[in-house]
Amino acid sequence: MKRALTKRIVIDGVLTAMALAIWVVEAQIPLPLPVPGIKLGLANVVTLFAMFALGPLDAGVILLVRIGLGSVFGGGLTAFLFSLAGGALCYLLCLLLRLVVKDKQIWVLGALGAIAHNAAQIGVAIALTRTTGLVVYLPVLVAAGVITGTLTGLAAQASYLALKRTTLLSRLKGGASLPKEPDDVAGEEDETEKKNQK
Amino acid sequence: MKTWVWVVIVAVILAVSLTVGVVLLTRQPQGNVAYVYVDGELVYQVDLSKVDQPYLYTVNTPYGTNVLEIAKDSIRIADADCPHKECVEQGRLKGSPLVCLPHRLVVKIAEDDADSVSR
Amino acid sequence: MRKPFFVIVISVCLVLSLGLGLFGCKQAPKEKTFFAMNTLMTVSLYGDSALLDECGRLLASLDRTLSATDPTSEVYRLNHGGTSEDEHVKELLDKSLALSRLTEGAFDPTVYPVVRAWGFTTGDYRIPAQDELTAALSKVGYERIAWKEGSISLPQGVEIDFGGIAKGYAGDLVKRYLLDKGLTSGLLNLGGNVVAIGAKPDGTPYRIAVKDPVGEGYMCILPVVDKSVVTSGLYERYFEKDGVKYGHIVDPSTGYPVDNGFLSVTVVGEDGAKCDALSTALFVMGPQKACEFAKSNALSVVMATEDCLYVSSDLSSSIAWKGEQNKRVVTL
Repeated sequence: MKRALTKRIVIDGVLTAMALAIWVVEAQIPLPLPVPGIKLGLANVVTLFAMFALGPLDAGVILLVRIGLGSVFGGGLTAFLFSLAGGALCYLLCLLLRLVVKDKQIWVLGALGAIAHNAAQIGVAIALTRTTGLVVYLPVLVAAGVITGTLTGLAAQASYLALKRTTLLSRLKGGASLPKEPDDVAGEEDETEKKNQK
Repeated sequence: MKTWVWVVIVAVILAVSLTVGVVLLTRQPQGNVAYVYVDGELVYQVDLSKVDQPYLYTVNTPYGTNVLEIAKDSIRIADADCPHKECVEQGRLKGSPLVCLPHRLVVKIAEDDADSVSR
Repeated sequence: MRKPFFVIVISVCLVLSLGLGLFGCKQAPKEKTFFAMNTLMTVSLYGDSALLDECGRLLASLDRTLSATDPTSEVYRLNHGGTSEDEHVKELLDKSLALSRLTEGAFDPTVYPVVRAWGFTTGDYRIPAQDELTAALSKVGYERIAWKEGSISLPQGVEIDFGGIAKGYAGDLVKRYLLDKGLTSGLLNLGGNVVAIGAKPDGTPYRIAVKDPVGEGYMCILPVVDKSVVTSGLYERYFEKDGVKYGHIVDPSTGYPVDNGFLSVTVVGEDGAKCDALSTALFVMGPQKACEFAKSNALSVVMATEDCLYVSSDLSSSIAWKGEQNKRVVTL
């Protein structure tokens, strides 16, 4: 059992690191739209993938740790609040949706989750500046969310389905059966997932 | 539920939000007066149609500083000491407000109308 | 398989349109306009539209009571040797006398004979002959009214008119009535007298503009919560003869329409009747005395002369000046 927990921590850690790396890189990409706070939300690929591959608890932990560390890496209080609000609302929505959605519809969680994420961010922006006029940006953010969310959702979906076809997934989740070649398994996971993130 | 049902839902949301969004953001600003708010409180206002010489106006917020460039019928955030300077990239104020989120600063054009006239 | 599709699409559309509708629509007030006291009066309220009709009745009834020219009114009777027990007339007379004392006669309800001599009451504007004016002026003087309580009667020769305070008073009455009925948000414009009841439903102040005394636009816009905004000016009732302008605001001490440089005087306050009377009084006082009076009585005012704009300190930070801003602004 201890081995299973350790493995889980390691896997969650790796995924968190990936999410963080994606997040830090995309934070540097300024978007041409005259809309405050809009970002691609690519890091959600990891969260979404984790939600299905590992379960909501792991996904939640990865999300929170990523947000926490992310604010350390840059952005300050404002960015932290934004990530937190966006991530929380998205996570809650996905928590519900995953119950009604089939394997080939994971991308839907990406799209709708991104909408929730962006809506939450505008909400925070309005609360912080106390200007309800900002709500004028909501529709564009929803549209952008649908587009980027669908893409990241599809990526997460592809990764998950690809992984499902191998025996890796059951071994990730279960942990009861020890792999014969631990090093090999770790290496394969890395490569497969990295390939699918692209 | 069938996948294509989801496709339809998402497509509809996309279409509607895109149209509404574009319409909202391409609205022409109504009115000539630009209002500058920090934390929801009005800190500066200027009638842009009455501006002859362009000038810079510095707003000191509790969170940082923004410099506004004000000219005839034009206002933009020219500089700020916030990390990403996204507010500067927003350019001139058009239909939708200029925002510097870390500084809680909002610049918008308000309609010039009043609710009633005392005479 | 068709059915769920339609259900979903329709419900999505419904939700979206509901969202858009709520987003787009602002709450609109219910409004009605009445003609009373020789002018247009508009009542806007966020609430039951049945209240609007009652406001109309209130205004009409008040008009009938107070009109100096209507032979059936209480005021007419008083001016012709009769008595009155009417509570509104009593309240108004009480207030008018108090304000006359406060303004040392700059506001004086007994100035009616003079105003009539100039033709401002009927619209037949004229320059009265000197002896006619002197005779009319001799009737003026609020100090002559000894009444304090009980049945009202006026001394021989004295005639009153509540024209300079009636609209303010009407506003107060309508506001009182609406507040009694539980209204928390509404706006009245009684012939130019603006009364804000509370703030707008979303909590933001009403934006009340003051008309530019010269030209078409606004002189300024004030954020107002639960107060009356009354403006006195000469630009609505005046006549011109031989190149000289004669406005309807008459100085009770000289009998002549004032010509002291003032273009517009606005008073903001909770008591609409007081604001109404004071705006007239300040106008009569002229810029210098008015500034002193406003300051010593802590009034909220906005006043304009040809080359200067005066604003009381409490309004100076929230006032939004409009139009030509090449006048000097003085904060009291």
